Amino acid sequence: MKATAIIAIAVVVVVVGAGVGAAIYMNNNNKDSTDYSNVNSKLMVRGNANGDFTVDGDDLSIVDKVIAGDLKKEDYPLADANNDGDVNDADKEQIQNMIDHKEGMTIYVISLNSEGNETTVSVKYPLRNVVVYATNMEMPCVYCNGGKYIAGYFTKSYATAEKSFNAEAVDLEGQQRTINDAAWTNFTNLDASLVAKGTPIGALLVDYSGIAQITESRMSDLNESGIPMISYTSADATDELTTVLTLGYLFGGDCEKMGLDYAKIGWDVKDKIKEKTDALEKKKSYICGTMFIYICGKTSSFNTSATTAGGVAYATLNAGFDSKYTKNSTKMASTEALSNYTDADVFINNRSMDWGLDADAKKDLIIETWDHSNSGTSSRVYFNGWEDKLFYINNLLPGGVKLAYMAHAMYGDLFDREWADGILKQYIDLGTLPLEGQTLDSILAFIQFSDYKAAAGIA
Amino acid sequence: MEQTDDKAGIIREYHHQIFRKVIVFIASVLGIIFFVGLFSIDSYPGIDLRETYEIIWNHIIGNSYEPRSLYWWADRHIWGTAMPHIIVAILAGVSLAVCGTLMQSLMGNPLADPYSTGISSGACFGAVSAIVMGAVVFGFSNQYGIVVNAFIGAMIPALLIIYLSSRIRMTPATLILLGTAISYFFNSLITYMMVTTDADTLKSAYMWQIGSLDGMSWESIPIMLVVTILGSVFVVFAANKLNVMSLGENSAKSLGIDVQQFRTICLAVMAIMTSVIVAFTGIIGFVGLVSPHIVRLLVGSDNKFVLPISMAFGALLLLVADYLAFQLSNIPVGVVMSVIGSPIFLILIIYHTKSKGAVY
Repeated sequence: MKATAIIAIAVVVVVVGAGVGAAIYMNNNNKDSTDYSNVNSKLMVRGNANGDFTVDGDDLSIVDKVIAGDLKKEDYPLADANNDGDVNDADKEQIQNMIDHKEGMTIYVISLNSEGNETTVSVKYPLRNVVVYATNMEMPCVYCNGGKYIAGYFTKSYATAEKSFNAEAVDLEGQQRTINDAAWTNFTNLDASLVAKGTPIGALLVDYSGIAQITESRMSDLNESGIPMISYTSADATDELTTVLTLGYLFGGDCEKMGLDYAKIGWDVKDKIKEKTDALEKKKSYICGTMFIYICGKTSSFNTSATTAGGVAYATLNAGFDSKYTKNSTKMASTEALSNYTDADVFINNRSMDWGLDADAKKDLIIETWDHSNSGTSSRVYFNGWEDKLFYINNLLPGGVKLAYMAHAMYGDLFDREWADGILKQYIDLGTLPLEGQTLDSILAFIQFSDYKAAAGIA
Repeated sequence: MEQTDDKAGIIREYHHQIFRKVIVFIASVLGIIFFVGLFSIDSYPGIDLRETYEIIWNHIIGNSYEPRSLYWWADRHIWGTAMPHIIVAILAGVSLAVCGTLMQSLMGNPLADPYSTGISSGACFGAVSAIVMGAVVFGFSNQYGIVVNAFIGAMIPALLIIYLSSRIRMTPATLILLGTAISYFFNSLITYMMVTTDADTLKSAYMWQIGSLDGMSWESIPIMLVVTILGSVFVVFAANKLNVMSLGENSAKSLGIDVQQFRTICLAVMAIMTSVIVAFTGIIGFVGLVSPHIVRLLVGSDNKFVLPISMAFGALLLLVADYLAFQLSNIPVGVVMSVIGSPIFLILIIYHTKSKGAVY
C-alpha cells in the first residue's frame, strides 16, 4: 500500500514535470505572427531614405543632412543604406552605387520574415535566378517583366498569364498551397546544380500568405545557405504595387522602368478612390470571399484591398461575424451561412482566372464561376438572395485594376464600369508581359449578376 | 561416453540457441541500418546508397561539405528531415515492442499490448478534444496542444488503473477488463465529438487516430528518447522477474515476488512510455502486439533475450512499415502497419496452433 502510494506520487511527479517541461520548451517555440509592416516606403530597399519610389540624389542629400545632424536618423530608417546600424559616409557610397546601378553590389531589401516582422535581407544586384512560390508572388514577378529571371517555381497554374516565365525555369513540383518535402528537395537540388554552374539562386520570393510552407527547418536551410527570402503580403493590392516596384528595381534595366510605371498607375487609382470616398458620410460595407464559398477574416489581404478601395469591412460592424470568421478564409458551414449578415452592402468574391479567352470561353467561365459546384452544391444556393450584391473579381489582375473594380462594385455611381475597364486598358497598353496581346474582351475581370444572366440566357 | 555425448549435445544446442539469438538481433540491427539508408536516399534523390552512408558517417564524425553543394544539401536534408523521422520511428518501435513484451508477460496473455489498459483511447480522447473542441490543457496551441492533451489523456486511464490496483485485488483478467471498460467509455466520448463536428475537423481527428510519423522534427525527440531509454533499461533489468511472472501469479508469489507491487511499477513504466509515444505519433497499432510474438517464435520465450531483440525487431518493423507508407504516396504509417500487421498476426496464430513453436 505504501509502495503503491509512492509509485503513484512518482508517476504524478513525472507527468507534471513532463507537462511543465514541455510547456516551457514548447512555449518558447510559439511565434507571434501579428506584428506587421512599419516601414512606410514604396520602394522597399535600404538607401531609399525618403521612402519614395526610387533611389536618387534626394536620398543622398537626406543622408548628408543626417550626417550633419540636421535630420534625425530615427526619422529616416532607410538612410542606413548598408544596414550597419549607423548613417555615415559608407551609406553615401552605397547610395551612389545604387544610383549608378553598380553590378555585383549588395542591396539591402526590406522584407517580412516568417513571423511577419520587417527584416533586412541582402541580395546581389542585379537580382537573377529567383525561385517563386505562390501565384500572388509569381504575378508581381512577371508584371515587372522579370519572368525571364525565374530559375524555378513551385507551382504554375495559369498558362497565359504566366507565359513569360523563363522557358528554362525548373518546375519544382510543389502544389498550389503546399511545398512538400519532395518539392523542397527539388529546390535544394536546383540550387546545388546552379552553384555548380556558378550562378546560384539569387532569392526565394514568397507570398506571405504562403509563409507557413517555409517551415522552421526550411528557414534554417535558407539561413545556412545564405539564400535570401523576400516575402511581402503581395495579395494585398497596395503591397502588390510595392512588390512589383521593388522586384523591378532589384532586377534592374527595363524591369525597373516597368515596375515604376506599373506602380504609378496603381497609386493614381488609389489616390482617386481616396479622394472620392473620403468625402462620403457613409461608406459601404463589404464581405470578401475566395475559393467560391470561403469567407475572409478581416485581416486577410482581400479585405485590406477592399478597404483601400473605400469600403468598410463588415467584420468591424458585426462582432458576431468577426468572431466567427477569424481566419484568412473559412469555408461556409452551410448554404445558410450568410443568412444572418444580409445587411452587408456587397460580397466581393476573389477568383484567379486565366485570360486569352474567346467569347464562348468567356461565357462558359462566367457561368462556371457563378454556378460553381461546391461538392455538388451550386454557389448560387450559397448566395441565394445576394445576387445583386455579389461580385467576382479576377485575382490575377494588377493591384490597381482590382482596386478599381472593387471600388466600382461598392460605389457604382462614383466609379463606373468604363473607368475600371479603362484602368485595365492602361495596364494592357503598358506592355507588361502577362497582358501582352490581350484585350478587354479576352480577359474576364469582373462578373456581376447581369453578366451571369446574359451568359446563361436568363431574362 | 554416452553421458559425455549428451553433455556435448546440450552444449552444442545451447550454443546453437545463442547463435540464433545473436543472428536475429544482428539481422534486425542490420535491417534498421539498411532502411535508414533507403529512407535517406528516398528523401534526397540524386545520391546513391553508398553516398548516403558516407554522408551520414561524415556528419557523425564532424566532416562537412562545401556550402550549397549537392552533398551539403543532402547532408542537411538527411539530418534535418529524414533522420528525425527515422529516429522517431525507431524510438516508437522500441517503446511499443518493449511495452508489448512487458504487457504480454505481465498479463500472461498473448493478446495483451501497450493499449490494453485503455491508454490509446485516453490519448485519443485528449487529442480529439483538442482538435474538435479546441479544449487544450495549459493553453498550448496547434500541434503542441494536441501532443500535451494526448499525453494527459493517456495518463488518465493509466493512473486510474494504478490507483484501483491498490484498492482491489487486481488479476490480469481484471486489468484487461478494466482497460476494455475504460476504452468503451472514452470511445463513446470520442464518437460524440466526432459526429458533431464538421468534415474537415473530422478528417483531422481521424487522421490523428490512425497514427503517423509525418512532420517529426528534432524537437520531438528528446522527451521520447529519455523515456524510451529509461523505460527500456528498467524493463530489461526486470526481465528475470517477468520470466517468473509468465509462470503465473501463484508461482511468482511462491518465488518471493511482490506481485502487486511489481505489476504496479511495470504498469506505471509502460503507461509513461506508451503515453509519450502515442502523444507524438498517434495510435500505431500492431507493433507492440506482433513484435514480441515473432521474436518468441524465433528465439524462444526467455525475456532476457526477447526484450532486447523485440526492441530491435519492433524498430525494424515500424521502419519497414514507414518506408512502405512513404512509397505509397505518404499514407499514414498506421494504415500500413495494420495492413501488414494483421496477416502477420493471423499467420502467427495459425503457426502457433499447429504447435510448430512453443511460444508460451
